Amino acid sequence: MASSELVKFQHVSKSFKTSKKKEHEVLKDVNLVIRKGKIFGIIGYSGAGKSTLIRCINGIEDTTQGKVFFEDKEINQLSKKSLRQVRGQIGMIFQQFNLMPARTIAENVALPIRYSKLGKQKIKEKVKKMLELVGLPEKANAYPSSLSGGQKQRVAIARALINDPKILLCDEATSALDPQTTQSILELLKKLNKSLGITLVIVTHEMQVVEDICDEIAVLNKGKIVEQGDVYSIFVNPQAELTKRFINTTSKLNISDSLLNTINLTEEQRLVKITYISDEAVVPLISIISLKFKIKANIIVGDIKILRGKPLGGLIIVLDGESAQVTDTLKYLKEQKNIQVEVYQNGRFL
Amino acid sequence: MDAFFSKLFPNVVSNLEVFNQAIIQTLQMVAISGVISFLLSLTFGILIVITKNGGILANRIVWNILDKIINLFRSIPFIILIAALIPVTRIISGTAIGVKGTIFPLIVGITPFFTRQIESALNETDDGLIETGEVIGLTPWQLVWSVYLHESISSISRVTTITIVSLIGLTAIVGVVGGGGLGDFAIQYGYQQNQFDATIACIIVLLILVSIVQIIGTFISKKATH
Repeated sequence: MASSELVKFQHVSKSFKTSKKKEHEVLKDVNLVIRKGKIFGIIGYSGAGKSTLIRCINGIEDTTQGKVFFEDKEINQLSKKSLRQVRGQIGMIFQQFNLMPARTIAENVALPIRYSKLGKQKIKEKVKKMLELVGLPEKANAYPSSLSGGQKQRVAIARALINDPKILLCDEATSALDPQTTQSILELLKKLNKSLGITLVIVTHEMQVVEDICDEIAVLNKGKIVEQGDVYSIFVNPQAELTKRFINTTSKLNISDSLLNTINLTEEQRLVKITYISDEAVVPLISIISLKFKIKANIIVGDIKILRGKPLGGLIIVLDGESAQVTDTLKYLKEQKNIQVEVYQNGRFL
Repeated sequence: MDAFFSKLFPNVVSNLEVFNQAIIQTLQMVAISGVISFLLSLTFGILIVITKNGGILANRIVWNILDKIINLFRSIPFIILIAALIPVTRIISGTAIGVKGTIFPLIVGITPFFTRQIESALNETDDGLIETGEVIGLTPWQLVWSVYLHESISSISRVTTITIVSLIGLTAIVGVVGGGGLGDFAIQYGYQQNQFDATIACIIVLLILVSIVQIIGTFISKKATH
Protein backbone atom coordinates (compact mmCIF):
# COMPACT_ATOMS: atom_id res chain seq x y z
CA MET A 1 0.00 0.00 0.00
CA ALA A 2 1.41 3.37 -0.99
CA SER A 3 2.26 5.68 1.89
CA SER A 4 -0.26 8.28 0.79
CA GLU A 5 -3.11 5.78 0.95
CA LEU A 6 -5.07 5.47 4.17
CA VAL A 7 -8.00 3.25 3.20
CA LYS A 8 -8.20 0.82 0.34
CA PHE A 9 -11.07 -1.39 -0.85
CA GLN A 10 -10.15 -4.31 -3.08
CA HIS A 11 -13.02 -6.11 -4.83
CA VAL A 12 -15.26 -5.76 -1.80
CA SER A 13 -18.65 -7.42 -1.94
CA LYS A 14 -21.17 -7.80 0.81
CA SER A 15 -24.49 -9.55 0.90
CA PHE A 16 -27.14 -10.03 3.55
CA LYS A 17 -29.30 -13.10 3.83
CA THR A 18 -32.85 -11.89 3.59
CA SER A 19 -34.30 -15.38 3.93
CA LYS A 20 -32.97 -18.92 3.77
CA LYS A 21 -32.56 -18.89 0.02
CA LYS A 22 -32.48 -15.26 -0.95
CA GLU A 23 -29.49 -12.99 -0.63
CA HIS A 24 -29.40 -9.26 -1.04
CA GLU A 25 -26.15 -7.92 -2.41
CA VAL A 26 -25.46 -4.54 -0.84
CA LEU A 27 -21.96 -3.97 -2.20
CA LYS A 28 -20.71 -5.28 -5.51
CA ASP A 29 -17.02 -5.42 -6.32
CA VAL A 30 -16.14 -2.09 -4.76
CA ASN A 31 -12.64 -0.76 -5.40
CA LEU A 32 -11.54 2.53 -4.00
CA VAL A 33 -8.64 4.35 -2.44
CA ILE A 34 -8.92 7.09 0.13
CA ARG A 35 -5.76 9.14 0.41
CA LYS A 36 -4.41 10.79 3.53
CA GLY A 37 -5.59 14.29 4.28
CA LYS A 38 -8.30 14.27 1.62
CA ILE A 39 -12.01 14.82 1.96
CA PHE A 40 -13.60 11.84 0.24
CA GLY A 41 -17.30 11.88 -0.59
CA ILE A 42 -19.52 8.87 -1.19
CA ILE A 43 -22.79 9.85 -2.79
CA GLY A 44 -25.82 7.78 -3.70
CA TYR A 45 -29.54 7.44 -3.14
CA SER A 46 -30.75 5.81 0.05
CA GLY A 47 -30.37 2.06 -0.13
CA ALA A 48 -27.36 2.36 -2.43
CA GLY A 49 -25.09 0.80 0.20
CA LYS A 50 -23.29 3.97 1.33
CA SER A 51 -23.71 3.34 5.03
CA THR A 52 -22.64 -0.27 4.67
CA LEU A 53 -19.59 0.81 2.69
CA ILE A 54 -18.43 3.33 5.28
CA ARG A 55 -18.97 0.75 8.07
CA CYS A 56 -16.58 -1.64 6.36
CA ILE A 57 -13.78 0.82 7.11
CA ASN A 58 -14.06 0.39 10.88
CA GLY A 59 -15.21 -3.21 10.70
CA ILE A 60 -18.70 -2.61 12.08
CA GLU A 61 -19.83 -4.45 8.95
CA ASP A 62 -17.79 -7.36 7.71
CA THR A 63 -17.38 -8.13 4.05
CA THR A 64 -18.48 -11.24 2.18
CA GLN A 65 -15.67 -10.96 -0.31
CA GLY A 66 -12.64 -8.80 -0.91
CA LYS A 67 -10.33 -6.89 1.36
CA VAL A 68 -10.51 -3.61 3.22
CA PHE A 69 -7.25 -2.07 4.34
CA PHE A 70 -6.73 0.64 6.90
CA GLU A 71 -3.09 1.70 6.52
CA ASP A 72 -1.37 -1.67 6.24
CA LYS A 73 -3.89 -3.59 8.35
CA GLU A 74 -6.51 -5.76 6.73
CA ILE A 75 -9.63 -4.95 8.75
CA ASN A 76 -11.43 -8.27 8.33
CA GLN A 77 -8.39 -10.26 9.45
CA LEU A 78 -7.85 -8.44 12.75
CA SER A 79 -8.57 -10.05 16.12
CA LYS A 80 -11.36 -8.45 18.11
CA LYS A 81 -8.81 -6.81 20.37
CA SER A 82 -6.73 -5.30 17.57
CA LEU A 83 -9.89 -4.23 15.80
CA ARG A 84 -10.90 -2.26 18.90
CA GLN A 85 -7.47 -0.62 18.91
CA VAL A 86 -7.81 0.31 15.24
CA ARG A 87 -11.26 1.74 15.93
CA GLY A 88 -9.55 4.15 18.32
CA GLN A 89 -7.90 5.68 15.27
CA ILE A 90 -11.14 5.90 13.31
CA GLY A 91 -13.66 8.48 14.48
CA MET A 92 -17.27 8.34 13.34
CA ILE A 93 -20.30 10.60 13.45
CA PHE A 94 -23.90 9.77 12.57
CA GLN A 95 -27.08 11.28 11.19
CA GLN A 96 -28.83 10.89 14.55
CA PHE A 97 -25.75 12.11 16.52
CA ASN A 98 -25.99 9.12 18.94
CA LEU A 99 -25.11 11.02 22.07
CA MET A 100 -25.72 9.16 25.34
CA PRO A 101 -28.80 10.88 26.83
CA ALA A 102 -27.94 9.98 30.42
CA ARG A 103 -24.46 11.51 30.24
CA THR A 104 -23.42 15.14 30.32
CA ILE A 105 -21.71 16.63 27.28
CA ALA A 106 -18.29 16.32 28.96
CA GLU A 107 -18.98 12.67 29.86
CA ASN A 108 -20.11 11.98 26.31
CA VAL A 109 -16.95 13.45 24.85
CA ALA A 110 -14.80 11.56 27.38
CA LEU A 111 -16.43 8.17 26.72
CA PRO A 112 -13.92 6.89 24.12
CA ILE A 113 -10.99 7.49 26.53
CA ARG A 114 -12.84 6.64 29.72
CA TYR A 115 -11.18 3.22 29.94
CA SER A 116 -7.79 4.36 28.69
CA LYS A 117 -4.73 4.72 30.88
CA LEU A 118 -5.00 8.51 30.91
CA GLY A 119 -5.55 10.03 34.33
CA LYS A 120 -8.74 11.87 35.26
CA GLN A 121 -7.04 15.26 35.06
CA LYS A 122 -5.64 14.52 31.61
CA ILE A 123 -9.04 13.37 30.36
CA LYS A 124 -10.64 16.53 31.71
CA GLU A 125 -8.08 18.69 29.88
CA LYS A 126 -8.61 16.81 26.61
CA VAL A 127 -12.38 17.14 26.88
CA LYS A 128 -12.03 20.86 27.48
CA LYS A 129 -9.74 21.21 24.47
CA MET A 130 -12.13 19.27 22.23
CA LEU A 131 -15.17 21.27 23.29
CA GLU A 132 -13.26 24.47 22.56
CA LEU A 133 -12.30 23.09 19.16
CA VAL A 134 -15.95 22.58 18.22
CA GLY A 135 -17.01 25.86 19.82
CA LEU A 136 -19.07 24.58 22.75
CA PRO A 137 -16.92 25.02 25.87
CA GLU A 138 -19.81 26.34 27.95
CA LYS A 139 -21.95 23.23 27.45
CA ALA A 140 -19.69 20.79 29.33
CA ASN A 141 -22.18 20.13 32.12
CA ALA A 142 -25.36 20.25 30.05
CA TYR A 143 -27.25 17.16 28.93
CA PRO A 144 -27.77 16.34 25.22
CA SER A 145 -31.54 16.90 25.43
CA SER A 146 -30.94 20.62 25.99
CA LEU A 147 -28.89 21.02 22.78
CA SER A 148 -29.95 21.85 19.23
CA GLY A 149 -29.23 19.46 16.38
CA GLY A 150 -26.19 21.38 15.24
CA GLN A 151 -24.79 21.55 18.76
CA LYS A 152 -25.36 17.81 19.19
CA GLN A 153 -23.39 17.11 16.03
CA ARG A 154 -20.57 19.34 17.27
CA VAL A 155 -20.44 17.34 20.49
CA ALA A 156 -20.44 14.12 18.44
CA ILE A 157 -17.51 15.51 16.44
CA ALA A 158 -15.66 16.36 19.67
CA ARG A 159 -16.27 12.81 20.90
CA ALA A 160 -15.09 11.32 17.62
CA LEU A 161 -11.89 13.37 17.69
CA ILE A 162 -10.84 12.92 21.33
CA ASN A 163 -8.67 9.93 20.49
CA ASP A 164 -6.79 11.95 17.84
CA PRO A 165 -7.97 9.67 15.03
CA LYS A 166 -6.42 9.63 11.57
CA ILE A 167 -9.75 9.53 9.83
CA LEU A 168 -13.27 10.73 10.54
CA LEU A 169 -16.20 8.85 9.02
CA CYS A 170 -19.32 10.97 8.56
CA ASP A 171 -22.45 8.95 7.90
CA GLU A 172 -25.11 11.39 6.62
CA ALA A 173 -23.83 13.72 9.32
CA THR A 174 -25.73 16.73 8.05
CA SER A 175 -28.87 15.04 6.74
CA ALA A 176 -30.91 15.77 9.86
CA LEU A 177 -29.88 19.43 9.94
CA ASP A 178 -31.32 22.55 8.33
CA PRO A 179 -29.33 24.16 5.49
CA GLN A 180 -27.77 26.86 7.64
CA THR A 181 -26.64 24.41 10.32
CA THR A 182 -25.42 22.06 7.60
CA GLN A 183 -23.22 24.87 6.32
CA SER A 184 -21.74 25.55 9.74
CA ILE A 185 -21.02 21.85 10.35
CA LEU A 186 -19.40 21.57 6.91
CA GLU A 187 -17.29 24.64 7.68
CA LEU A 188 -16.19 23.02 10.93
CA LEU A 189 -15.29 19.77 9.15
CA LYS A 190 -13.33 21.68 6.54
CA LYS A 191 -11.50 23.57 9.27
CA LEU A 192 -10.61 20.32 11.06
CA ASN A 193 -9.36 18.81 7.82
CA LYS A 194 -7.09 21.80 7.29
CA SER A 195 -5.86 22.33 10.85
CA LEU A 196 -5.54 18.71 12.00
CA GLY A 197 -4.82 17.16 8.61
CA ILE A 198 -7.45 14.56 9.37
CA THR A 199 -8.86 12.54 6.48
CA LEU A 200 -12.63 12.77 6.09
CA VAL A 201 -14.99 10.28 4.51
CA ILE A 202 -18.39 11.81 3.89
CA VAL A 203 -21.42 9.74 3.04
CA THR A 204 -24.32 11.79 1.76
CA HIS A 205 -27.23 11.92 -0.64
CA GLU A 206 -26.89 15.67 -1.06
CA MET A 207 -24.76 16.86 -3.98
CA GLN A 208 -24.47 20.23 -2.31
CA VAL A 209 -22.43 18.68 0.51
CA VAL A 210 -20.07 17.08 -1.99
CA GLU A 211 -19.76 20.31 -3.93
CA ASP A 212 -19.03 22.25 -0.75
CA ILE A 213 -16.23 20.22 0.76
CA CYS A 214 -15.17 17.06 -1.05
CA ASP A 215 -11.88 16.68 -2.92
CA GLU A 216 -12.73 13.33 -4.42
CA ILE A 217 -15.98 11.47 -4.80
CA ALA A 218 -17.35 8.04 -5.55
CA VAL A 219 -20.88 7.69 -6.89
CA LEU A 220 -22.62 4.59 -5.62
CA ASN A 221 -25.61 3.00 -7.34
CA LYS A 222 -27.16 -0.21 -6.05
CA GLY A 223 -23.94 -1.28 -4.38
CA LYS A 224 -21.71 -0.50 -7.33
CA ILE A 225 -19.36 2.41 -7.79
CA VAL A 226 -20.43 3.89 -11.11
CA GLU A 227 -17.98 6.74 -11.16
CA GLN A 228 -15.13 8.10 -9.07
CA GLY A 229 -12.52 10.77 -9.33
CA ASP A 230 -11.69 14.28 -8.29
CA VAL A 231 -14.70 16.42 -7.68
CA TYR A 232 -14.00 19.06 -10.36
CA SER A 233 -13.57 16.66 -13.24
CA ILE A 234 -16.68 14.78 -12.26
CA PHE A 235 -18.67 17.98 -12.03
CA VAL A 236 -17.55 19.28 -15.43
CA ASN A 237 -17.66 15.95 -17.19
CA PRO A 238 -19.91 13.42 -15.53
CA GLN A 239 -20.09 10.08 -17.31
CA ALA A 240 -22.68 8.00 -15.50
CA GLU A 241 -26.37 8.83 -15.85
CA LEU A 242 -26.77 8.89 -12.05
CA THR A 243 -23.90 11.33 -11.63
CA LYS A 244 -25.48 13.66 -14.18
CA ARG A 245 -28.75 13.51 -12.30
CA PHE A 246 -27.01 14.35 -9.03
CA ILE A 247 -25.13 17.25 -10.59
CA ASN A 248 -28.31 18.63 -12.10
CA THR A 249 -29.67 19.03 -8.59
CA THR A 250 -27.05 21.69 -7.86
CA SER A 251 -26.93 23.36 -11.28
CA LYS A 252 -29.26 26.10 -12.41
CA LEU A 253 -27.95 25.93 -15.94
CA ASN A 254 -31.16 24.57 -17.38
CA ILE A 255 -33.79 26.13 -19.51
CA SER A 256 -37.37 25.51 -18.58
CA ASP A 257 -40.20 25.17 -21.09
CA SER A 258 -41.90 28.30 -19.84
CA LEU A 259 -38.69 30.27 -20.31
CA LEU A 260 -38.25 28.74 -23.74
CA ASN A 261 -41.72 29.89 -24.79
CA THR A 262 -40.83 33.50 -24.05
CA ILE A 263 -37.87 33.36 -26.42
CA ASN A 264 -39.07 33.44 -29.99
CA LEU A 265 -36.01 32.63 -32.01
CA THR A 266 -35.83 34.06 -35.47
CA GLU A 267 -34.31 32.20 -38.39
CA GLU A 268 -30.80 33.59 -37.73
CA GLN A 269 -30.80 33.48 -33.94
CA ARG A 270 -29.23 30.58 -32.08
CA LEU A 271 -29.74 29.48 -28.52
CA VAL A 272 -26.37 28.34 -27.20
CA LYS A 273 -25.25 26.71 -23.96
CA ILE A 274 -21.66 27.34 -22.93
CA THR A 275 -20.22 25.21 -20.14
CA TYR A 276 -16.79 25.49 -18.52
CA ILE A 277 -14.94 22.21 -18.77
CA SER A 278 -11.45 23.11 -17.65
CA ASP A 279 -9.77 25.29 -15.13
CA GLU A 280 -7.99 27.57 -17.60
CA ALA A 281 -8.36 31.26 -17.03
CA VAL A 282 -11.81 32.60 -17.69
CA VAL A 283 -11.73 34.93 -20.68
CA PRO A 284 -14.36 37.61 -21.30
CA LEU A 285 -16.04 35.51 -23.97
CA ILE A 286 -19.13 37.59 -24.44
CA SER A 287 -17.16 40.79 -24.95
CA ILE A 288 -14.76 39.09 -27.32
CA ILE A 289 -17.44 37.67 -29.57
CA SER A 290 -19.48 40.81 -29.65
CA LEU A 291 -16.42 42.88 -30.59
CA LYS A 292 -14.93 40.37 -32.96
CA PHE A 293 -18.04 39.26 -34.80
CA LYS A 294 -20.25 42.33 -34.23
CA ILE A 295 -22.86 40.05 -32.77
CA LYS A 296 -25.36 40.54 -29.98
CA ALA A 297 -25.13 38.01 -27.20
CA ASN A 298 -28.16 38.00 -24.96
CA ILE A 299 -27.66 36.12 -21.68
CA ILE A 300 -30.75 34.10 -20.77
CA VAL A 301 -29.42 31.99 -17.89
CA GLY A 302 -26.12 32.30 -16.04
CA ASP A 303 -24.78 29.98 -13.37
CA ILE A 304 -21.08 30.23 -12.76
CA LYS A 305 -19.48 29.26 -9.50
CA ILE A 306 -15.99 28.59 -8.31
CA LEU A 307 -15.36 25.00 -7.27
CA ARG A 308 -12.02 24.35 -5.56
CA GLY A 309 -10.77 27.58 -7.16
CA LYS A 310 -11.86 26.61 -10.66
CA PRO A 311 -14.80 27.92 -12.66
CA LEU A 312 -17.81 25.67 -12.92
CA GLY A 313 -21.11 26.16 -14.69
CA GLY A 314 -21.78 28.33 -17.68
CA LEU A 315 -24.23 30.48 -19.62
CA ILE A 316 -27.19 30.06 -21.88
CA ILE A 317 -27.18 32.85 -24.47
CA VAL A 318 -29.01 33.87 -27.59
CA LEU A 319 -26.72 34.79 -30.47
CA ASP A 320 -28.31 37.44 -32.62
CA GLY A 321 -26.88 38.68 -35.90
CA GLU A 322 -26.60 37.90 -39.55
CA SER A 323 -26.41 34.27 -40.51
CA ALA A 324 -22.70 34.37 -41.44
CA GLN A 325 -21.77 36.15 -38.25
CA VAL A 326 -23.63 33.60 -36.16
CA THR A 327 -21.91 30.73 -37.97
CA ASP A 328 -18.48 32.33 -37.49
CA THR A 329 -19.16 32.97 -33.84
CA LEU A 330 -20.21 29.37 -33.24
CA LYS A 331 -17.10 28.18 -35.05
CA TYR A 332 -14.93 30.44 -32.87
CA LEU A 333 -16.63 29.29 -29.69
CA LYS A 334 -16.23 25.63 -30.56
CA GLU A 335 -12.50 26.19 -31.06
CA GLN A 336 -12.12 27.31 -27.44
CA LYS A 337 -10.65 24.47 -25.40
CA ASN A 338 -11.91 25.39 -21.96
CA ILE A 339 -15.57 25.45 -22.86
CA GLN A 340 -18.15 23.09 -24.23
CA VAL A 341 -20.64 24.58 -26.69
CA GLU A 342 -24.08 23.12 -27.32
CA VAL A 343 -26.61 24.57 -29.74
CA TYR A 344 -30.34 24.21 -29.13
CA GLN A 345 -31.86 22.11 -31.90
CA ASN A 346 -35.02 20.07 -32.09
CA GLY A 347 -35.94 20.63 -28.49
CA ARG A 348 -32.58 20.07 -26.80
CA PHE A 349 -28.98 21.17 -26.61
CA LEU A 350 -26.68 19.19 -28.87
CA MET B 1 -54.97 7.37 70.45
CA ASP B 2 -54.71 3.88 71.94
CA ALA B 3 -58.39 3.96 72.68
CA PHE B 4 -59.11 4.96 69.12
CA PHE B 5 -57.13 2.02 67.72
CA SER B 6 -58.62 -0.38 70.25
CA LYS B 7 -62.06 0.57 69.10
CA LEU B 8 -61.33 0.36 65.36
CA PHE B 9 -58.97 -2.63 65.38
CA PRO B 10 -59.73 -4.57 68.59
CA ASN B 11 -58.31 -7.86 67.35
CA VAL B 12 -55.14 -6.25 65.98
CA VAL B 13 -54.44 -4.38 69.21
CA SER B 14 -54.92 -7.51 71.29
CA ASN B 15 -52.46 -9.36 69.05
CA LEU B 16 -50.17 -6.40 68.46
CA GLU B 17 -46.96 -8.31 68.96
CA VAL B 18 -47.93 -10.91 66.35
CA PHE B 19 -49.01 -8.14 63.97
CA ASN B 20 -45.72 -6.26 64.34
CA GLN B 21 -43.84 -9.50 63.85
CA ALA B 22 -45.84 -10.09 60.65
CA ILE B 23 -44.87 -6.67 59.28
CA ILE B 24 -41.20 -7.31 60.02
CA GLN B 25 -41.41 -10.73 58.38
CA THR B 26 -42.95 -9.26 55.24
CA LEU B 27 -40.25 -6.60 55.10
CA GLN B 28 -37.57 -9.26 55.55
CA MET B 29 -39.00 -11.42 52.79
CA VAL B 30 -39.29 -8.52 50.36
CA ALA B 31 -35.85 -7.13 51.16
CA ILE B 32 -33.85 -10.36 51.07
CA SER B 33 -35.54 -12.01 48.10
CA GLY B 34 -35.78 -8.61 46.35
CA VAL B 35 -32.05 -7.89 46.56
CA ILE B 36 -30.98 -11.40 45.55
CA SER B 37 -33.53 -11.54 42.75
CA PHE B 38 -32.46 -8.09 41.50
CA LEU B 39 -28.85 -9.23 41.16
CA LEU B 40 -29.86 -12.50 39.47
CA SER B 41 -32.34 -10.82 37.14
CA LEU B 42 -29.84 -8.15 36.17
CA THR B 43 -27.34 -10.89 35.29
CA PHE B 44 -29.86 -12.97 33.34
CA GLY B 45 -31.39 -9.89 31.72
CA ILE B 46 -28.00 -8.70 30.50
CA LEU B 47 -27.10 -12.20 29.28
CA ILE B 48 -30.32 -12.58 27.33
CA VAL B 49 -29.96 -9.14 25.72
CA ILE B 50 -26.34 -9.56 24.66
CA THR B 51 -26.71 -13.16 23.46
CA LYS B 52 -29.82 -12.56 21.37
CA ASN B 53 -29.61 -12.78 17.60
CA GLY B 54 -27.70 -9.64 16.54
CA GLY B 55 -26.61 -8.90 20.11
CA ILE B 56 -23.10 -7.82 20.99
CA LEU B 57 -22.15 -11.36 22.09
CA ALA B 58 -24.74 -13.29 20.07
CA ASN B 59 -24.90 -16.90 21.23
CA ARG B 60 -27.85 -18.99 20.16
CA ILE B 61 -27.29 -21.76 22.73
CA VAL B 62 -27.04 -19.53 25.80
CA TRP B 63 -29.98 -17.44 24.64
CA ASN B 64 -32.18 -20.47 23.99
CA ILE B 65 -31.44 -22.08 27.35
CA LEU B 66 -32.19 -18.86 29.25
CA ASP B 67 -35.28 -18.13 27.22
CA LYS B 68 -36.76 -21.60 27.72
CA ILE B 69 -36.02 -21.73 31.46
CA ILE B 70 -37.64 -18.33 31.98
CA ASN B 71 -40.71 -19.40 30.02
CA LEU B 72 -40.91 -22.66 31.96
CA PHE B 73 -40.88 -20.99 35.37
CA ARG B 74 -43.17 -18.18 34.31
CA SER B 75 -45.81 -20.67 33.25
CA ILE B 76 -46.06 -22.33 36.71
CA PRO B 77 -48.56 -20.62 39.05
CA PHE B 78 -46.72 -19.44 42.14
CA ILE B 79 -48.68 -21.45 44.67
CA ILE B 80 -47.93 -24.66 42.75
CA LEU B 81 -44.29 -23.61 42.38
CA ILE B 82 -43.94 -23.31 46.17
CA ALA B 83 -45.20 -26.86 46.64
CA ALA B 84 -43.06 -28.21 43.82
CA LEU B 85 -39.95 -26.56 45.22
CA ILE B 86 -40.33 -27.88 48.79
CA PRO B 87 -37.66 -30.64 48.50
CA VAL B 88 -35.14 -28.20 47.00
CA THR B 89 -36.07 -25.50 49.50
CA ARG B 90 -35.38 -27.94 52.35
CA ILE B 91 -31.92 -28.68 50.95
CA ILE B 92 -31.05 -25.02 50.40
CA SER B 93 -32.63 -23.34 53.44
CA GLY B 94 -32.81 -26.30 55.82
CA THR B 95 -36.54 -25.71 56.24
CA ALA B 96 -39.58 -25.11 54.05
CA ILE B 97 -41.52 -22.95 56.52
CA GLY B 98 -41.11 -19.54 58.14
CA VAL B 99 -39.27 -16.60 56.59
CA LYS B 100 -36.22 -18.77 56.05
CA GLY B 101 -38.22 -21.26 54.04
CA THR B 102 -39.89 -18.60 51.85
CA ILE B 103 -36.82 -16.82 50.48
CA PHE B 104 -35.89 -19.51 47.97
CA PRO B 105 -39.37 -19.99 46.45
CA LEU B 106 -39.84 -16.23 46.36
CA ILE B 107 -36.60 -15.81 44.41
CA VAL B 108 -37.50 -18.60 42.00
CA GLY B 109 -40.99 -17.18 41.65
CA ILE B 110 -40.05 -13.56 40.94
CA THR B 111 -36.73 -13.83 39.07
CA PRO B 112 -38.15 -14.99 35.70
CA PHE B 113 -40.65 -12.12 35.72
CA PHE B 114 -37.98 -9.68 36.90
CA THR B 115 -35.57 -10.91 34.20
CA ARG B 116 -38.14 -10.24 31.47
CA GLN B 117 -38.71 -6.78 32.90
CA ILE B 118 -34.97 -6.01 32.94
CA GLU B 119 -34.66 -7.43 29.43
CA SER B 120 -37.32 -5.08 28.11
CA ALA B 121 -35.73 -2.14 29.95
CA LEU B 122 -32.32 -2.89 28.40
CA ASN B 123 -33.87 -3.44 24.97
CA GLU B 124 -35.15 0.13 25.03
CA THR B 125 -31.55 1.27 24.53
CA ASP B 126 -31.26 2.84 21.08
CA ASP B 127 -29.34 0.58 18.64
CA GLY B 128 -27.43 3.67 17.51
CA LEU B 129 -25.97 4.07 20.99
CA ILE B 130 -24.79 0.45 21.02
CA GLU B 131 -23.24 0.91 17.58
CA THR B 132 -21.54 4.08 18.81
CA GLY B 133 -20.09 2.14 21.73
CA GLU B 134 -18.65 -0.39 19.30
CA VAL B 135 -17.35 2.34 17.02
CA ILE B 136 -15.41 4.01 19.83
CA GLY B 137 -13.80 0.69 20.69
CA LEU B 138 -15.53 -0.34 23.92
CA THR B 139 -15.23 -4.00 24.92
CA PRO B 140 -18.51 -5.92 25.29
CA TRP B 141 -18.44 -5.57 29.08
CA GLN B 142 -17.62 -1.87 28.89
CA LEU B 143 -20.58 -1.59 26.53
CA VAL B 144 -22.86 -3.36 29.01
CA TRP B 145 -21.73 -1.15 31.86
CA SER B 146 -21.32 2.22 30.16
CA VAL B 147 -24.09 2.07 27.60
CA TYR B 148 -26.71 -0.59 28.34
CA LEU B 149 -26.84 -0.17 32.12
CA HIS B 150 -25.94 3.50 32.34
CA GLU B 151 -28.55 4.49 29.77
CA SER B 152 -31.22 2.25 31.33
CA ILE B 153 -31.05 3.41 34.96
CA SER B 154 -34.39 5.13 34.63
CA SER B 155 -36.11 2.16 32.95
CA ILE B 156 -34.53 -0.32 35.34
CA SER B 157 -35.76 1.56 38.38
CA ARG B 158 -39.21 1.72 36.80
CA VAL B 159 -39.40 -2.05 36.20
CA THR B 160 -37.87 -2.75 39.62
CA THR B 161 -40.72 -0.83 41.21
CA ILE B 162 -43.27 -2.89 39.28
CA THR B 163 -41.49 -6.08 40.30
CA ILE B 164 -41.23 -5.24 44.00
CA VAL B 165 -44.93 -4.48 44.11
CA SER B 166 -45.54 -7.93 42.55
CA LEU B 167 -43.10 -9.43 45.04
CA ILE B 168 -45.06 -7.97 47.95
CA GLY B 169 -48.07 -9.79 46.51
CA LEU B 170 -46.13 -13.05 46.40
CA THR B 171 -45.04 -12.71 50.05
CA ALA B 172 -48.71 -12.76 51.01
CA ILE B 173 -49.17 -16.01 49.09
CA VAL B 174 -46.24 -17.74 50.81
CA GLY B 175 -47.88 -16.68 54.07
CA VAL B 176 -50.75 -19.03 53.27
CA VAL B 177 -48.44 -22.04 53.22
CA GLY B 178 -46.82 -21.25 56.54
CA GLY B 179 -44.40 -18.57 55.57
CA GLY B 180 -45.39 -15.92 58.08
CA GLY B 181 -45.78 -12.24 57.30
CA LEU B 182 -48.87 -10.14 56.69
CA GLY B 183 -50.50 -12.70 54.41
CA ASP B 184 -50.25 -15.28 57.13
CA PHE B 185 -51.69 -12.84 59.67
CA ALA B 186 -54.61 -11.90 57.44
CA ILE B 187 -55.50 -15.55 56.80
CA GLN B 188 -55.07 -16.74 60.38
CA TYR B 189 -56.86 -13.91 62.14
CA GLY B 190 -58.90 -12.20 59.48
CA TYR B 191 -60.14 -15.18 57.49
CA GLN B 192 -60.05 -18.23 59.71
CA GLN B 193 -61.13 -16.46 62.93
CA ASN B 194 -63.41 -14.09 61.08
CA GLN B 195 -61.74 -10.96 62.53
CA PHE B 196 -62.42 -8.55 59.71
CA ASP B 197 -60.44 -5.67 61.27
CA ALA B 198 -57.27 -7.83 61.04
CA THR B 199 -57.76 -8.14 57.27
CA ILE B 200 -58.32 -4.38 56.95
CA ALA B 201 -55.18 -3.63 59.00
CA CYS B 202 -53.10 -5.87 56.71
CA ILE B 203 -54.49 -4.13 53.66
CA ILE B 204 -53.62 -0.70 55.08
CA VAL B 205 -50.04 -1.69 55.90
CA LEU B 206 -49.55 -3.26 52.44
CA LEU B 207 -51.00 -0.17 50.81
CA ILE B 208 -48.53 2.02 52.68
CA LEU B 209 -45.70 -0.32 51.77
CA VAL B 210 -46.57 -0.34 48.07
CA SER B 211 -46.94 3.46 48.05
CA ILE B 212 -43.51 3.95 49.59
CA VAL B 213 -41.93 1.62 47.00
CA GLN B 214 -43.75 3.42 44.20
CA ILE B 215 -42.70 6.88 45.40
CA ILE B 216 -39.04 5.87 45.75
CA GLY B 217 -39.09 4.15 42.34
CA THR B 218 -40.65 7.13 40.60
CA PHE B 219 -38.19 9.47 42.30
CA ILE B 220 -35.13 7.50 41.14
CA SER B 221 -36.56 7.09 37.65
CA LYS B 222 -37.16 10.84 37.35
CA LYS B 223 -33.75 11.67 38.78
CA ALA B 224 -32.09 9.47 36.16
CA THR B 225 -33.97 11.01 33.21
CA HIS B 226 -32.21 13.93 31.56
